Amino acid sequence: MDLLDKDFLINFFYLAFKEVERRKEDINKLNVFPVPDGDTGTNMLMTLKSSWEEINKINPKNIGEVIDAITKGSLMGARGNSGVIMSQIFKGMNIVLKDKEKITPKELSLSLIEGVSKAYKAVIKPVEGTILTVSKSFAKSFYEEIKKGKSFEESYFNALKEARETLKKTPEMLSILKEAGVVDAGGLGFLAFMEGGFKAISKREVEMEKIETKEAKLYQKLEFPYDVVILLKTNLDEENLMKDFNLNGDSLIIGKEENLIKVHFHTDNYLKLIDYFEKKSSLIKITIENMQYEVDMLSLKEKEVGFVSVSRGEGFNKILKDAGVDEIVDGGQTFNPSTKDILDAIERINSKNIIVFPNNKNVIFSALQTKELTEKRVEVIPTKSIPECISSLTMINKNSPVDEMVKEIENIIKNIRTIEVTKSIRDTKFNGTLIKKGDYIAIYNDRIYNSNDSPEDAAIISLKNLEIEDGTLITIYYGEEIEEERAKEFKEKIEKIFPNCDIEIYSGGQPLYFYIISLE
Amino acid sequence: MTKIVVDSSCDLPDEYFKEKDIKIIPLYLKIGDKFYKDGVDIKSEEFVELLKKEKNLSTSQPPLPDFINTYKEIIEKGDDIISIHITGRGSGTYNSAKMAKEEINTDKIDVLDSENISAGYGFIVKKVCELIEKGLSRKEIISKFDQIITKVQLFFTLNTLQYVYKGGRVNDVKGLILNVLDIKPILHMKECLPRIYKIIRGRNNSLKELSRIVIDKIKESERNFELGFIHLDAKKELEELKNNLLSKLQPKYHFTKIVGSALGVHAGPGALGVAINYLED
Repeated sequence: MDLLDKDFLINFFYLAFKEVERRKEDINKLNVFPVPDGDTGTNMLMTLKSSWEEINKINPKNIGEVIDAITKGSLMGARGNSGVIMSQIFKGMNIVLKDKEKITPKELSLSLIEGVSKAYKAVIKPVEGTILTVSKSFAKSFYEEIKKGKSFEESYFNALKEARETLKKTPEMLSILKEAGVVDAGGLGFLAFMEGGFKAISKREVEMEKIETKEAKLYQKLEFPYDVVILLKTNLDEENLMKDFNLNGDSLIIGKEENLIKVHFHTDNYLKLIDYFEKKSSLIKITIENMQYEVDMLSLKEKEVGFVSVSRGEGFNKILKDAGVDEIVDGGQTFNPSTKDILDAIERINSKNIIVFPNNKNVIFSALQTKELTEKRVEVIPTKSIPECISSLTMINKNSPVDEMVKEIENIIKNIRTIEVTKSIRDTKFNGTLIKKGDYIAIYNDRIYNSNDSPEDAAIISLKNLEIEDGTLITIYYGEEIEEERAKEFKEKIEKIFPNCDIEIYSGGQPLYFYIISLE
Repeated sequence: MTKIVVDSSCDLPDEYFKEKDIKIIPLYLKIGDKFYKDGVDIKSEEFVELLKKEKNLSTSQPPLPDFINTYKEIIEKGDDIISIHITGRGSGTYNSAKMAKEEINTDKIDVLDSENISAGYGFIVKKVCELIEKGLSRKEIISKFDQIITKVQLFFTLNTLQYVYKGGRVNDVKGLILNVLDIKPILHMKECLPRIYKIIRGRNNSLKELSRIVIDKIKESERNFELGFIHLDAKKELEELKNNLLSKLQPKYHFTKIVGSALGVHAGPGALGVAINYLED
């Protein structure tokens, strides 16, 4: 029988790796488990690429050295769940093939069995219907065919067929796949790898019907959004290292490479995770990825209603995003965005219905103009201040139809009063009061209150002149010129003057206006 | 005679349980490795302090033997049992009670899911108790139970979302992670779980809104009704809300209770709510 040498394995790996590269996007599209972030193909490819680079670096002299390079490369470069699992498969193969000059196909099949078993052991809670199941089915079938005395080519071909059948059954094993209407992404990745490798064995085309790779449609809020990989050095064995490990999360995988250990985990608290391992070992490398971001970006779900808000100031931008604004239009120093700015924001949102909050009297007109320039349905709420938008978006039922939502918002903003505190830029007379250039002024609707002392003073004068019922929520958004400490002192003052009101304070970060204060 | 068994998350006045001889199976509070019986080892007054201090406070359902022993005691006296529990979607207690029944292997017990919590759960127990007193059979009560649970509503507001996030029992709230802005949600029981009814800004505004909701619901129903007031570390605010509501509404009966600690763990200090029990005329 022909023996397989290092050139075979290098050629095999190259073709396999290239096939994954070719089908990367197909694999990404399927990705829903354990986290639907659409990067399984990319992760696998990165892992394999790292192996390929390692092979080129060390220029191996025999099969043992090739598999060694593959293992080492994949362990160092492993990304994502399926990447880590691939690296464990190679690691298991390495146990069988270590130091071998050349190998028989039977030895190759045995090493795969060992690899799959290694992968199962590395995953703390193995889940069927994943790359594990598909790789197991391939390895088992390949080994059995060889044992029956079939040729290398025939055995491998039949194992591919078997693995493909298993892949098709993954939705039956894992309900999340069924819901999304897809087969497992990692499983397809493994199959692509093996199908690519087949080109090194046979000229025969892998002529099997194509597995449909429709896009997975799913949106979810992740319980454990951070994908963390920690490479560490320790004298402890795995059991002792993990003895007190009780953090919430999933997809725990531990791989060992001589005295280095690689831990992969999905968590909601990466600080605790790092803290745990820092106490037990010396950390070498940590990578943290927020998968929620990817999920959100990839969310294909069209929103029923999208929200555009004009804003100014870092703090306000953050709060508006928090409250559910999809697109923020920067009002600029003068709070005067162009119709095009607003229109662009409208078009960027994946929704046919858009509600626009101009948040300033002077912007309402440019906002209304967008209605004729887009095919989307645009509703402009005549909000005169940013706090009106913040409260509306926080309080409305976001599942309501647009018409109802607009009514709800109109009702909410009726109950909100806003005071803006700034500095007069010229001498002027207002309702008989002389206001000097440089005076601090608090503006409420068409009333102006002035003080030559401080913006806080002007604000307090205006508040005292407005009727404020007990229980009113007074929210203070302080501008970029006001230090946090000063704002807090101001809050305490207000609390003393209005002891029966709720007072909240946030950084709005707006220019020109020292304070924007809302009453509701 | 049919006896009622409940768990400690059922909020009704202590005297009521005594007077009607209702057996309470305590849920457990877990602090570190130690377990405490809710309402027995830890009284509600001590609990609030503990809740503010202990970061690792959690709850767990009563162990099977607690149910089995209580059930056996009652059956041995020749009585039978209706065992009513906190919503099975929020706790494993209902499930444990069912397992205990199977373990004893008897037809003398019916285990029911109140699909509610706190004073909402309390009013459901009260209704069942009244039907037993009227002389209805266990079978008749069971057949009416689905209807009974629809006649109770619970609305409550939280002063902080910290506890409800940590507890992870209100999925609805999870989707609402606000990083900067402080909000005061009003929750209600829907499909066996607490869900967001409305989001309000400002504590006083949320209390006002809670009153408004209760008044609206009662006016809408055009029925006689009873009210249950619950709170955790919000006595003064509750008194105000109660006085305001009682000046506008005439309930046939009302009671006030500190929220059981098993629920308090999830609701946190400042939780405050009103249960409405609509009466049949």
